[in-house]
Amino acid sequence: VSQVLELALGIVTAFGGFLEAGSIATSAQAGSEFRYALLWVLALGTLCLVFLVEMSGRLAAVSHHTIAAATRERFGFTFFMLPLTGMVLVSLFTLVAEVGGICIALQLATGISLQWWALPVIGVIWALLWRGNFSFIENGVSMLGLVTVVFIVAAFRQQPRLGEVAAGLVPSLPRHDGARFWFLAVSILGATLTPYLFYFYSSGAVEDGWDEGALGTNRAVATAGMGFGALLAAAVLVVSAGVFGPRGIRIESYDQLALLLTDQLGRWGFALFVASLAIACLGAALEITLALAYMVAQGFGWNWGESVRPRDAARFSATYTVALAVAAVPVALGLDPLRVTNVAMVLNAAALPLAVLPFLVLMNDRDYVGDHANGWFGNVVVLGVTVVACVLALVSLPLELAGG
Amino acid sequence: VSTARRAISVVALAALAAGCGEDPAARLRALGSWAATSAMLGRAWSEHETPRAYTLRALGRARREIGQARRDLTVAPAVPLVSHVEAATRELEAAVGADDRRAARAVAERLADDARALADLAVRSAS
Repeated sequence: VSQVLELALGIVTAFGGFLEAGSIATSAQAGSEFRYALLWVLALGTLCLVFLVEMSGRLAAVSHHTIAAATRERFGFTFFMLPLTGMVLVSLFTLVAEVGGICIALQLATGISLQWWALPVIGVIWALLWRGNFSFIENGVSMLGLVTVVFIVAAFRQQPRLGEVAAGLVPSLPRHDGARFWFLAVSILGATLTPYLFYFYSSGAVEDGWDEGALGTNRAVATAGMGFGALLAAAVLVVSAGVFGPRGIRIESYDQLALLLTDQLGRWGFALFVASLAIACLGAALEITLALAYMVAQGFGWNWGESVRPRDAARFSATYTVALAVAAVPVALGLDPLRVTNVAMVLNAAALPLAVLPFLVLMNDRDYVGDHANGWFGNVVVLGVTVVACVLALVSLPLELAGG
Repeated sequence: VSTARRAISVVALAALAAGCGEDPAARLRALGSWAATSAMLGRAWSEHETPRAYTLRALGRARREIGQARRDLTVAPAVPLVSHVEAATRELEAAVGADDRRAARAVAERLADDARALADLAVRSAS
């Protein structure tokens, strides 16, 4: 019974913790501008994510190594600095987007400008990390994240034509605004395949003391948790296509996005959107901050662990403190959170090879994973999506920045 | 070599199209988007679905975007319509500020018509 409960909890937390600023914003933008035409990109990214998350758990369960520790050991410290630097920069950018998301939710709720919320929000995140343990971060916030089910409820109430939605799962080329289409496609891939997620997952698996007995649970959590989680992002896209598409509204601001649920849920829609955005971004901000500290501490061989008292892992705690302080600055200066989110998601996609390629080598190295090495299908899917996402990101980001 | 050159040309053209920002149809679509946003904000507020502070802030943003786009607009037939949208958004802000939901509803309906007219103009401008 306890194993079934553990499995259910794992799936529910993966589901509840799936959405964050990037997936909400990019899915809504895609739906408003291209209706269901980018659903296939979300499906492709989710398939790749399922493989990556499953691999992260498998590496931890079989080798008892996190990705960062195994990469440093396998390739040496000098090489490890390359993915570490890339991951730290990209994750910091993503952290700014998530902190911005929480602040914009508070601005929507109170009318007080988001800049004023930057320091209190950073303070709350820091206190939760300082006082909380891994289970609290992993389970508590993800449980709250179940409020995002409201997007699925709204999608059902909207009653879209299922044939049209299903047609969006078939890969297609843009009929208009090609540069924008591919920018949003790569934004969706970046939002789905955020590298911090699988670094966080492998560290969590080590913190929870997984062994080979956890491989079945790991596979189920990766598949069902991420699969159901992607349904939330798909629901955001579908609702946006129904609400904003027919009105000709192109999402350029969270002020517009806040109207996403009002057609279907009336006066509850606004409050539920604000709550969903705040909670989803809070969960992601906690995970990214921890993932950053995990990567740095594991890379440099320091004591680490969210369940370890801060005084016993002082440099680990100092790392997440500094990361939060750095992330507060752009938000306090009033940078447009939606613009930061879009750029952060594309940077995630551009940096994917740094995170994924060494990881794939590890997952095919029997010194680490023994008889549990990757199959060819997983290797091909992950490698293919990673290369495509990176190339698209490198082409589309300059175009989008130039286009304003 | 010719394939690579063609690919570079396509990317350069796309960069120009994205970077120069001179596409009048795209500009009209953006204007229509903000007009429709104002209309949706007015309707939602008049139905008690959104708080006043949020509505005023969002309408202020919409008005600034519409004003900026009007100044950059080069499609002569659209100028009176866009000026009308800008004025209507101001009127809507005033109605929300005065807590007059009936007036807000009426302005929002006019703005929704204007947004559709701008979208039609964008289609004609593109073709």
